[in-house]
Amino acid sequence: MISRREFLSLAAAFSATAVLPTGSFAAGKAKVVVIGGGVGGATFAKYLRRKAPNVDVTIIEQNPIYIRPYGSSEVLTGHIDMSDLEVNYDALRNKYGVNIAIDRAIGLDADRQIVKTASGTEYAYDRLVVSPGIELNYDKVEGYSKELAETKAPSGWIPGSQTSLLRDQIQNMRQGGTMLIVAPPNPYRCPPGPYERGALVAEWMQKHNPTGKVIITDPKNKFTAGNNFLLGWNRLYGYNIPMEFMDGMPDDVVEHTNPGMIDWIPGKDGGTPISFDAANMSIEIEGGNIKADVINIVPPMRAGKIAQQFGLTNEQGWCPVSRVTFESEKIANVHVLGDASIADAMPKSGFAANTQAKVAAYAIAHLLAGEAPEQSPAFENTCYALAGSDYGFFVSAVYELRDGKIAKKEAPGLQDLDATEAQCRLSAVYQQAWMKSFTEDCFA
Amino acid sequence: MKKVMILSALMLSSSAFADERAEIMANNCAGCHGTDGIVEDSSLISIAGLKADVFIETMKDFRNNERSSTIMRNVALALSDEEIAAMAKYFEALPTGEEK
Repeated sequence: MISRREFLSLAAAFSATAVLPTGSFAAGKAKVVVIGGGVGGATFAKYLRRKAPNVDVTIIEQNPIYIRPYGSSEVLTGHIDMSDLEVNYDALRNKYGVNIAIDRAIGLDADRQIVKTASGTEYAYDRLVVSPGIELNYDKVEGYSKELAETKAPSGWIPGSQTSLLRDQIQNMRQGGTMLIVAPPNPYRCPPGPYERGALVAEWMQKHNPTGKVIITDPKNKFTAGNNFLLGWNRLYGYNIPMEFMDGMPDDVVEHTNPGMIDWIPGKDGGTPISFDAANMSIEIEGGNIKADVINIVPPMRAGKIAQQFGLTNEQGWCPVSRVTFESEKIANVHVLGDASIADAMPKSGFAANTQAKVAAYAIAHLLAGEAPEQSPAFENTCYALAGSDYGFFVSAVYELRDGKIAKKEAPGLQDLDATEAQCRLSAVYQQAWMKSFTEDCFA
Repeated sequence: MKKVMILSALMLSSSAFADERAEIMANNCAGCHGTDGIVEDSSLISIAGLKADVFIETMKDFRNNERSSTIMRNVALALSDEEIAAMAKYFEALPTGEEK
């Protein structure tokens, strides 16, 4: 007896041979090359192989093991280890038949449709997908650099040695010391991330450094799920909610008389960073000078370097694409997914990259078969965030195309401020479960 | 039962193009509910093979606050009746983990 899945894949294989392909791949299998084996690239490769098993898919990725950025702030407090962030490519390779080339793309010949790599290999493609994530623009903060990020004031925004350095600095900080988080300007990867990180460190300090303090400076005046964070900080860390954010807050909000463990300085109060003084371990912000024991600078970002090298970016450093196929507006037959792409109302999140990747996979399956892709795709985003280990909330949205742009469908997008304690707890449970389910949907 | 499933698969493939948007929307659930609606972690609930009328009723109850939820009320409010119906049909046709 034939299973439905086998039937569908047979049907797909059959229809692909029945439709005469056109273009350079007419003689053999269609070839799709993916640069970057992160959330966008991995999800794309998996879903394309499921949809079009006759297409040859190769991921070019520098690292044999992926280190997931989502959830990586949990390393800082010892909730998880660096090794818990590791994801391998075994399922993509063995279950879905994706070729994984551990190599580095260094050149593009868009006319001949060839990617060149550091090992000297040339990969011919019918469609190229570039999913490079972000590049941290360290030099945009005066006095800051990649070298200082690796030795003195880590950003820890792309997980790796900076994450473990930051963890060690936090955990070895003197009693009563201050951790300063410099939040970035929009747009950036993981909008709730800096504020969740501050909260998790404050929670850790309650146990291990009760006189310690977290300060978040910010060029912005509001941030994603801001009210949920401010409420959680009020309940958990003695934060006083500014008057302008009190609208809609539940009755249990307390005005604390003692200074809290966490403080947030928005742009209008002088929070915009001007420069970093590594020798003094201080940050000059518009509102003055702040000295700290641990300084965590999350610098401005732009599309991953390879997208810039290939000429896929605009003046702001991000990649303009078709919202139907994610094909670059700059180079034909090259698509850009995830954080690097301009996706209008969608945030630069893993979940966004994952749903964009699926839409792009289906669109490319159709294009390779000489068919038109679905013209009204749908996307989704779900971000869970924590104000404490047992205190979660979320950002959620469904997106559709409106006038050629990705727009949010009308619906509430945040957890209600009057959510019960049980609901906050449940969101924290789902946050932990999501780390696993999401990784599986991308990589397994 | 098996025959019915093959028949419905046939119908699905013959009208595959029209149904693709439902599949694309259903794929958006996979980050939490698993690829093809099957997830290991029981707190997130597998939805493959869920009867269409149960799917539709649950989503409407989320919308109307007649069923307590965290994130699902917001998701249900963002989806039209037609989208919910199309996704319900899609998930009903997917094999549950036990049948695999």
